[in-house]
Amino acid sequence: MPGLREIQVGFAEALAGERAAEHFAPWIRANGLDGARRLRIYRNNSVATLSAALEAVFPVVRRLVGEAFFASVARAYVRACPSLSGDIHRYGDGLGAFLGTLPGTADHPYLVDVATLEWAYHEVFHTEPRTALDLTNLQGLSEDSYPELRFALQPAARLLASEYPVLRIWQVNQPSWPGEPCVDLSEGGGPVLVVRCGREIEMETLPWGEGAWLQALHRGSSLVAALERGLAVDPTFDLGPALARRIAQGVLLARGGTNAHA
Amino acid sequence: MSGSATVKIPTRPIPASVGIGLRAPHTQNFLETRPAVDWVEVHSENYFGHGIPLDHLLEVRQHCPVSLHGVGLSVGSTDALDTDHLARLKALVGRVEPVFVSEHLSWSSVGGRYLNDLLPMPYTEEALAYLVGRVAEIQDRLGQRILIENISSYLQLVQSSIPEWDFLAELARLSGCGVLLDINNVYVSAANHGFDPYAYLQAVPVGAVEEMHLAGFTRKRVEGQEILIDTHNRPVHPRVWALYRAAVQRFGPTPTLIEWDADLPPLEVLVEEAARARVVMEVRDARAA
Repeated sequence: MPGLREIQVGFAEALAGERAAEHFAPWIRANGLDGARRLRIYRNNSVATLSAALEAVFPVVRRLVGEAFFASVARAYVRACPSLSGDIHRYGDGLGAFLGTLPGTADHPYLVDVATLEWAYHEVFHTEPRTALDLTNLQGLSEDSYPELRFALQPAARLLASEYPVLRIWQVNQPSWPGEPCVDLSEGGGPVLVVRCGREIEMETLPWGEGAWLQALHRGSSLVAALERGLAVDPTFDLGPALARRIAQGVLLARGGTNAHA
Repeated sequence: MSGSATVKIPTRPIPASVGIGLRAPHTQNFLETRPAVDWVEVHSENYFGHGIPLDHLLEVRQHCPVSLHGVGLSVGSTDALDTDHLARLKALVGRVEPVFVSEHLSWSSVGGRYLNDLLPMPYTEEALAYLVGRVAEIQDRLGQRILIENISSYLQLVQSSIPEWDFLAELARLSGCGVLLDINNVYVSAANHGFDPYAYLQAVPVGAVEEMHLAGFTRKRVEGQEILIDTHNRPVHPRVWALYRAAVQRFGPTPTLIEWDADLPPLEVLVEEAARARVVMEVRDARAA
């Protein structure tokens, strides 16, 4: 008699493919309905659950491509990319990249970036923020140490970038948007910051220079090295207001703890 | 998060209490109207990141007890226990201080792949011994008892040699866990596999059941055969109410929860269903008096 492990492996394979289902079906009590049909109920349930999870995370992508197309994309994604966690909110991180591989999405080159933005929003929604940096900690430091200060991005924040106006696309496709869902793609894109502030999520398109600076800080660069990155992208980038704003907003934290240190 | 002004919340619902499964679309309305239910239950995984949903839940927690119902721990899986998942559950338990922590008599993953569904176990001696060890390990790591819920199932494995009701009772006895008896699941599985749901109740020891669930199912015809699907998208069926009355008769008043997960109606509909469950328990009490 097969053991528990063998039964579970056979069951899972049977849910993944009809052929394996034929091998597994004899282990199912027919009882008025053959095993293959009983397995199909589970296959449908699993695909429906994972598809519903994707629908919940990517409402804008779904609206852009249409419900029917999204449903077929979701089914294909579930087949191609199995869930790896019992926490269903972790499912779907690869949907953006997956969309990019589909021939039917060539007319909407911004779709991948919209999916990336929706995933960032989803992650920020489900992340606990760390306490904002106390500015008085910075005041205690000598000015000589400022260039070497290092910061970390708030765990409940994401920074992404797109050549397309993805935030505008996101905004006009919200159910609450009053006007027509039209965006002029020629208005261009930029870095987009997504950050949790209390029970709200703030999103904003940044100037390219500030985005490059913030990205460099996020990757561990010192304040002066990050400033150089920002200025290289945009010579008019103004460090002072950007630093004050992002610290006050809780986007920038001290690296390695909640207190500032060089 | 809970401030010093927090009211002391009982650590166990009173026996004849009724609760509802609280879902995100209802949370705001729940906080504003504070309907007449004694506690609420939520799906643990929705709060694992300690994100915005947890802020709302902790506000709810200031007004009534909360129980945590997991759907993703894959208790019966032969994969190693997901200790990261369990650690996140434990951290959440620390924040919410739930009245119950529950999971399912099922598995949902193997080889690292998750179906994110509640799949039936083969009811064998091997599976029983395995589950007793798993539940003990989970309770050890969590530092508290859990409740295990019977699931709805759409197939039975030919390897099964123990009736589900005996399997569940033995699991509770040997692991020390409590039973969360889902009356709708008993009814659905009984209809799908052709056993007597009342005999199921009779086989479960009276002291073992610490919580009950009620929910709605959907009838589906597959090749001329009727299958009941546990959809949680409609009111409790009259025959499930009848089975529930028998359960209350046998087990006594037991904290009872109305679950509704899809096609959510207004909050009041869930509250009315919960009120019906309360009446069932009160009638039983009046007869017993």
